[in-house]
Amino acid sequence: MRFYFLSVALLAGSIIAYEITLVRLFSIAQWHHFAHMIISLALLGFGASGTAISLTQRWLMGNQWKSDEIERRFHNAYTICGLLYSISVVGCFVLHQYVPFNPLMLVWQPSQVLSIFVLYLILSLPFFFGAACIGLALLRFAGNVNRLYFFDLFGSGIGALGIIVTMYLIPPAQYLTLISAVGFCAVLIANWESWKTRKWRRIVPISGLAAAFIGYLLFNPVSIKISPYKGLSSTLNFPDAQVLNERHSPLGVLHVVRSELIRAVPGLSLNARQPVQPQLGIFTDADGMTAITDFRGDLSKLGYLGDTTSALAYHLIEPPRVLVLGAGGGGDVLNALYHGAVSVDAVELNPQVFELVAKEHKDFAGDIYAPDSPYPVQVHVAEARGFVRAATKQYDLIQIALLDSVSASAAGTHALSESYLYTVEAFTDLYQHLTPGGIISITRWLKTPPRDMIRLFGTAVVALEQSDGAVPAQQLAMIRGWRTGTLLIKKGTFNAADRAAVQNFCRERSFDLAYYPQMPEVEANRYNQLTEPIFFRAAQAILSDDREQFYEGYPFNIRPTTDNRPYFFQFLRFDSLVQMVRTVGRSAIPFIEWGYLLLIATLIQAVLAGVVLILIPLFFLRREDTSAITHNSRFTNWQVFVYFLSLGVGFMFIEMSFIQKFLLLLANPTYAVAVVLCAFLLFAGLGSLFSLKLRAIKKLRQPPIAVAIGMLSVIALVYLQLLPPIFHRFLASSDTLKIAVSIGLIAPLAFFMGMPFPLGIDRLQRHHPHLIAWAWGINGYASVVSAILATCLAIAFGFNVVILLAVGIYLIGGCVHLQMDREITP
Amino acid sequence: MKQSFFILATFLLLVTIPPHSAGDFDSDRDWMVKRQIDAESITDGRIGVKNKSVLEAMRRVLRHEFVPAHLKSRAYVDMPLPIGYDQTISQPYIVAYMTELLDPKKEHKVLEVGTGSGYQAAVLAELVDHVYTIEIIKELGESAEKRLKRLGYKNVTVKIGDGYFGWEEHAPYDAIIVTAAPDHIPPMLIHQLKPGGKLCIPVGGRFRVQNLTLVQKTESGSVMTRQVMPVSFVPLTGKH
Repeated sequence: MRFYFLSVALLAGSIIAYEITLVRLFSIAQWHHFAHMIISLALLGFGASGTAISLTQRWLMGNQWKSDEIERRFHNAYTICGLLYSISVVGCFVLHQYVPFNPLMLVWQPSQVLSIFVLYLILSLPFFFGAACIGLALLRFAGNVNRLYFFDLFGSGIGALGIIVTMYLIPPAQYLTLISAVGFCAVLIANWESWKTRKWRRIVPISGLAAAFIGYLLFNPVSIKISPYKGLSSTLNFPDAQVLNERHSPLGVLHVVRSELIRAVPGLSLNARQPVQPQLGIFTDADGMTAITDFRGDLSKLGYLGDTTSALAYHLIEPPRVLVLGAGGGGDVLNALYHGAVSVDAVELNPQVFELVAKEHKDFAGDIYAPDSPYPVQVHVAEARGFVRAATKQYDLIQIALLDSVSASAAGTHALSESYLYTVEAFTDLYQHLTPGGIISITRWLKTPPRDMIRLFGTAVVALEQSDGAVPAQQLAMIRGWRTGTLLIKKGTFNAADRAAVQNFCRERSFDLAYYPQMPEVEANRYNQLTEPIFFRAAQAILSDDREQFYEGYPFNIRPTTDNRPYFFQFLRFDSLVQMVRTVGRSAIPFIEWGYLLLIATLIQAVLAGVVLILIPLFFLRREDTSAITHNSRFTNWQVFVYFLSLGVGFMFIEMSFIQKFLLLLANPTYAVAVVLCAFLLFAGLGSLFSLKLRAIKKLRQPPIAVAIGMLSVIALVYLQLLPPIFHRFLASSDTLKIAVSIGLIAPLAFFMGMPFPLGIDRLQRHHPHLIAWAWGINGYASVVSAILATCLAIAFGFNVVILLAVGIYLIGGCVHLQMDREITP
Repeated sequence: MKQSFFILATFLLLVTIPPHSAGDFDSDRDWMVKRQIDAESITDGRIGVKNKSVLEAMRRVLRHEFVPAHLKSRAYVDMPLPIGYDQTISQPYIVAYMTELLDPKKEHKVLEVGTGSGYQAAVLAELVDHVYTIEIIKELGESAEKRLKRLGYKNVTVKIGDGYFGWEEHAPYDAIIVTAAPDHIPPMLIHQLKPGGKLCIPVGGRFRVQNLTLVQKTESGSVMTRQVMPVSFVPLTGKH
């Protein structure tokens, strides 16, 4: 039995690694929202495995079989599913690349819709086979569910951590090889008895298949086809384009490309005269290019940088101490040096970007990031928000670089991504790190109709309103060019000299004034003309008492974003959308950002598919229920359904919400997710291991389920209040301490979250064993749907509401369990 | 959600195909101009093209000659089509609309950055004195040059090269059309524009929303831009 448990742990680790890998590989190959939808729907393979086992369990484990026969059938089914899993993780990924799916053509080609369903089907197979193994083990070893579930969760935790560490070590093309190899190992371990009894007819084919398959993949790794519409693909079409370097990590795959034709200067004025210096492009996940500029020490050649909207702040302050958030290839750092900055702290999340600039292209980049740099530049590998919160220094200028690519911005690709840099709390943090008279400068791409800049302005206004002594109307300035806009937040008021400097800067570069204190409307919308001075009027409205009315009447959601709802890039409003479609029909389509809509579409499809997957076995089970099973309880299928559904949803809601909350403390998204996910799963596993022992504690006057759900609810609710001050206390601490604190906080919560599932399975095992596989399917299905639902709810209501809902859902599950307990007749 | 993407997409797919046979290109072209472009007869709410000479040019240029053989049947559907090398031929509506924005005159000299299939150059060649067009991808440029010659366009000159620096030799231009803008308009292009000249640039990825932006150089040499409304990529319905 223990070999099966070990095998389950390996498979569980492999499955979660596959899920994370799939997200990663899709990020490299594609950029569209459909990737999220396809992966989410493919995960329904989990629920489908429960359905399949429910339908075949009589054949597999029927009462009429002798125990030897049951063992043989189970063993064969486990081995076959394990082998199919190990092969399909690679095979299905390769196969899916041949499905002719181009989301960009979806509007014109009906066959594309069919392709989506084919993709669901192909990519769900590995999840189906992998989860089937675990479901089979659950059915076979239901009496030891607490231990089995411990191994399942333990394996998942190690798998999540392991794959993220692995991403530093091996190239993306080999991720699937490793995952497949772990799957094969799991199968071989499950066949340990055969090794001991020297059943070579069984062992040799399995080992041979594994060795041949993995051996082949080691020398012929899976090729990842990058979409031709990604920036890297387009750039490589240039005749002289050449990939100079490639790096990989969980933060992305980096390609450095050389071509005479690469020139990236976001927001360059149309009046600029000086030629742009040669550049190298660094692409992250084949898109989102940041440029390394040819800089050999001659600052005068960088004059064109002074003609970008983001250069405005340098005209308002003396040679400043600058903090650049999102330094990338160094464009904003060079801008600071060109304008005579006395010191520049360059913050970049991905250390490999710094390494490429500082080492590989040291000469080309002019030593700007080198340790022995002749320039006053200090590099910091950190997440921007985390760096600011932990910083003890103050700055004259904080520059937030244009971090995302223009195409991703236009397409609404980030609509579902959280951003903790553009929230009210973030602006407050930044503001507190300004010297008196210092400036925060934020540049963003412009959209039509305007969205980002107006939301930024509103967010800044709220942040200033919450700061002591601040007068928002006197401390903000906003300008725009033809593609970018820049917002300035000053720690102090913009005086007459400042205002004149802003006016001159804009006039010389044909930039438009959008807002400065006491600005008359006549100065707005002069050079880059819109149908009306929207930016100016929006700024005036936000600063007036009509703010709410303005937000209510604007066709997009441009309300300020907060840490609780950090979806800066989500602008869609359903009411406006419906109205817009009604009014202008198909002409509304250009205004639609598909990210959120596809999330809703994913949810609908997942719910429909899940309902079918859950109802099918119920139909068959109903017939069996009274004929084959004798039981001494009266609880219904629906109680089982509600209980396991609530556990799946509750667990995922809490896990996802707390991952987001811990992101703020741990800052680095890679290890935040790895640490938090791993800690959740490991401690939930320990909770599972301990769960059945609760019954043996005589002093415990409450049923175990009441203790588990009661404790986790109390802890979750207390954390809602307690985490912000705790996080604040440890913000400036070392990473090691922050990780230790995080694990310490997660441990008790996860420990109790790990108990309800084994307690429920244990109850089924003793009274309704035929429902175990069904319950497994429900739980799997609930996890998938709730992951999508949690994002929808967080966008609409914030993470705190998701946690409150999770507690409510857990309590419903607890009540149902107690009701089941009462209905059991002794 | 009632307005689900798939319902919308399916609806749009059903209405995409023109009610003409693939071989009947002359009537296809008339249908294209009438239903998709002409301000007098366009019926989907978009701003149509009013300039008669532009409409006439759109009727004259054989778009099916500029698309790959297997896509000829869709040449007159209002959609971009792939032409190889990950490039596309723009949808007819955008070509016509951008051409109108440039306000082309018989005596004009126009620079196009991004020849692609040569279709836009051909439309312009019907309207102006000379079109200079630059293509970075050699294979595309050469095939466009051959195609334009074969179709009898003598007032188009194709150059393989980097359009970033414009084409100084023939500058200044009355109008410049740029078919892709990464993040800034090359300063040299503004420099090579005549005072009073216009530069048109569709901003946005292929196969999706394109914000048309018109850059105008005033007689005094200062530069202004105007955001023309975003252009829908949605195909037209077959029944009106």
